[in-house]
Amino acid sequence: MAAYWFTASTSFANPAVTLGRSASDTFAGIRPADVPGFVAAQLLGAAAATLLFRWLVPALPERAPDLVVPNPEQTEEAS
Amino acid sequence: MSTSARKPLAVATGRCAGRAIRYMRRLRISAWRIWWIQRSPQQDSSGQSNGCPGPCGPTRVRILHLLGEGPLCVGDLVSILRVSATHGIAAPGVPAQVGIGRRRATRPVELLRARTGRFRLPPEAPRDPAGRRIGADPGRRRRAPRFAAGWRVLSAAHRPGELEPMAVHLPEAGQPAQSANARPTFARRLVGRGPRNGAAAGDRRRLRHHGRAPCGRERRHRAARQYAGYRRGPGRAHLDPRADLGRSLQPGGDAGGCGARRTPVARCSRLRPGSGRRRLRRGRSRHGMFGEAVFTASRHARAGGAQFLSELVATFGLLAVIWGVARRRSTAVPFAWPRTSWRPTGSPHRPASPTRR
Repeated sequence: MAAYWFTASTSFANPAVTLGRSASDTFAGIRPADVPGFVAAQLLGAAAATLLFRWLVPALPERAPDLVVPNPEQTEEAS
Repeated sequence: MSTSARKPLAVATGRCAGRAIRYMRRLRISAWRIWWIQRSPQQDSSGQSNGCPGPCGPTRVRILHLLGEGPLCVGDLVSILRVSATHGIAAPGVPAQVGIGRRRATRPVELLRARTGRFRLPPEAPRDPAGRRIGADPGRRRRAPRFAAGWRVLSAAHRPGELEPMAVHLPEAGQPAQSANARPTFARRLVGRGPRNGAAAGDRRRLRHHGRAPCGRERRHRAARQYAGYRRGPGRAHLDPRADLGRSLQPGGDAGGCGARRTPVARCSRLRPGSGRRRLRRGRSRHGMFGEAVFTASRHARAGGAQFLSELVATFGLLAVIWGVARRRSTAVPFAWPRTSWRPTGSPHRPASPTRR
């Protein structure tokens, strides 16, 4: 995370960085009035990426019923 | 002291009612300082001088008056040290204004309350049926304290029984100081003296404006400042706050002095919550290392749909790489993340960058 936050790029991609840079009048700063729009865009982008990759690459617990063959012995012991 | 003798004091204090407020800062008097006040050469049980450099006579009595009344303030102490010893003690139960001119104490003093407090007062001087002190010249007329300059001259005069001014007793190197009875040094020992509320600085300014030769009290102030620097030695590492305060009272030069605003104590005093808030409100708070403003609202405009879209794409790209690598090969996340985000400004290494640019 530090590697991203301390880059020379002026993209923020982080609501905390956006808020922090609004408090410094530098070339990487952002006007406080523009912070809500940036934060909303970041949240939208993060949500889109999360949803996309949950669909593209599902996690193992979600795919487990399709991939794991049930063991009859353990099923009997459990019952 | 009779009531008629205090009348000029009341008249003098009534003329400058608005100027005494800045001297009313409350002080903390620690236990050892109270002990030091009470332990004077006159209080020694054997009747001989015990060598303790405490304040003597009326000065000690006046301090005990005000201590029995409540916490002291700068105006109280300055008034005590400046008022003439010939004014004596206030009559029991009669409020009295202690002090003169601009440096008076505005709080009335009642001897009755002081006597019932936790401080023991010395016995009163014998008085005749008319209320006058026995031994005092009834025909003598006291001088009305109308001007501070006149009283400065009066207070600078050497009195019988008082030690010599400190300039005579400056110690040799490495020897303990025995001459601490001068009143400026007493005030400095009792309350300390900040860089801003020091009377010595004010005297120095007045001297510069008026172009007049320094009187005895100012010479004592100057000697006390030299003594503070002399006692601390030639080193200039201001590790001791007391050394900071002492040296801040000196002009910069061979004695190791420095400006009052450059002392670490003065710098740390700027970090007080109250002053910090004030400075933030005024927008004058500065970073300690670079001198930049700590909080300044940015004026860089980043508005518009294009900017918001680029930020959305940037965040999407970052999260996409993180999620993808985490799902596919989680051990490579520490390497993939910097590869994604640690990029120079003009070289887009990931698909999201050229898209947003």
